[in-house]
Amino acid sequence: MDMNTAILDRYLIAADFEKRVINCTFPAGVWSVAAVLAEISEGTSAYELETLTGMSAQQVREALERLLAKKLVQQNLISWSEFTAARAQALSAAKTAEASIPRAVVAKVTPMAAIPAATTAQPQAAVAAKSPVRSGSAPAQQNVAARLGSISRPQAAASATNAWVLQKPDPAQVAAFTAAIPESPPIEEQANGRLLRPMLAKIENIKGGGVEGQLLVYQVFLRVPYQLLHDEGIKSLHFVDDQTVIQNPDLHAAIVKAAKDVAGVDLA
Amino acid sequence: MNPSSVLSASDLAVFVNLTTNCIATVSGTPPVFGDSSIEIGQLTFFKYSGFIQVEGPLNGWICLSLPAGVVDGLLEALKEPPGDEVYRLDITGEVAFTVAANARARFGETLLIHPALATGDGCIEQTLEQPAMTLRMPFTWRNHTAQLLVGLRS
Repeated sequence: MDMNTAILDRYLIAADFEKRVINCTFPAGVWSVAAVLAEISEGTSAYELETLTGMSAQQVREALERLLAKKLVQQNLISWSEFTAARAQALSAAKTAEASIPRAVVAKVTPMAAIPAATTAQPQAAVAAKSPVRSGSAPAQQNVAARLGSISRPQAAASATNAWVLQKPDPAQVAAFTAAIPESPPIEEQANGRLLRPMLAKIENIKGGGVEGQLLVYQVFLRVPYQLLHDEGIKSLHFVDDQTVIQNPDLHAAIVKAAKDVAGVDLA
Repeated sequence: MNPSSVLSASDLAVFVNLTTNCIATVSGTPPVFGDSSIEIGQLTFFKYSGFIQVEGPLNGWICLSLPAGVVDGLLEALKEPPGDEVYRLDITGEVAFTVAANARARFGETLLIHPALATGDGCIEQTLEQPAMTLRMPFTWRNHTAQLLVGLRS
């Protein structure tokens, strides 16, 4: 997807969605995409929908096709002047981002890094914010994500009162939050590298999975150089799934070292 | 000082649990978390976001990012008028403020927890920086999708 496509590639919930949706039936995934679009009045791109729904690019594309076919969703159409203005803003944001990203990173960021900036091309409704709000764009880097496991579901709230104070953890809730994820499989060595998922699972299991396990994985990855992750080519996937193989030995070594330093776990 | 080694994942989980408890207490409905991810690069925020900036053993922010549906649902639970931008920003900031206050009580002087900040434009608060990697924890609340973000500097 190039920058031009990204600017155009926005979808909006149909104005008469409520009327059209009657008698429609879809798989839950399609409704998930519709639900997110219904929440964002200014619309969003397929690229962002992947992040917001946690679905793959193909799943989002198929869901959008079904919603478009039923006219429950419409593609955002813009004029030439709007397009050129958005493109100029995206280019400007990319230049700003380059100035704020370390040189070693900039060298590897492609023009596609400006895609998210295009999402600000359409002005948000003016709101009276408590604190000043940013109208510009944050540093644009490639969106990449390492998908972790699910967080265990919390127990129902014990109290309906509006006032609340910090309490000792409810043992049941703690148990639910820290429910152990399945024992991590052995870290498989592929012909072209190491599978990422077993490494993540091994780190998560240090904390028994759940929120704490995932936070630990995050703390480990904070120690892994961004450049190595970027160079691995993960950028084109957006998410690292069960199939992701770490091919670069330097990246593998960095993950192993970070896991050892932060979590005390041996991934080698 | 090494940020990651001083406060553990368990300490960091306090913010997640406080946020979960706050939403559950206010509304009677706890959020249900889905697949988490580590985002590298530009983030996508929902329209309303409450940020808690932390400094010390951890440096960065925790953000509760909510679409209008969740914000209005929380307002209705508090018998406040939904759909009003001022009230929407108010409840967004109030949830973050409450989490910050309770976290402050938990961590004391160990961690500097700044007053909560709220935005209503789908962007990161202007005084904050987006780190290279962010932990994104999406959740559903009454059929709405929202997210909790943890953005720490490495």
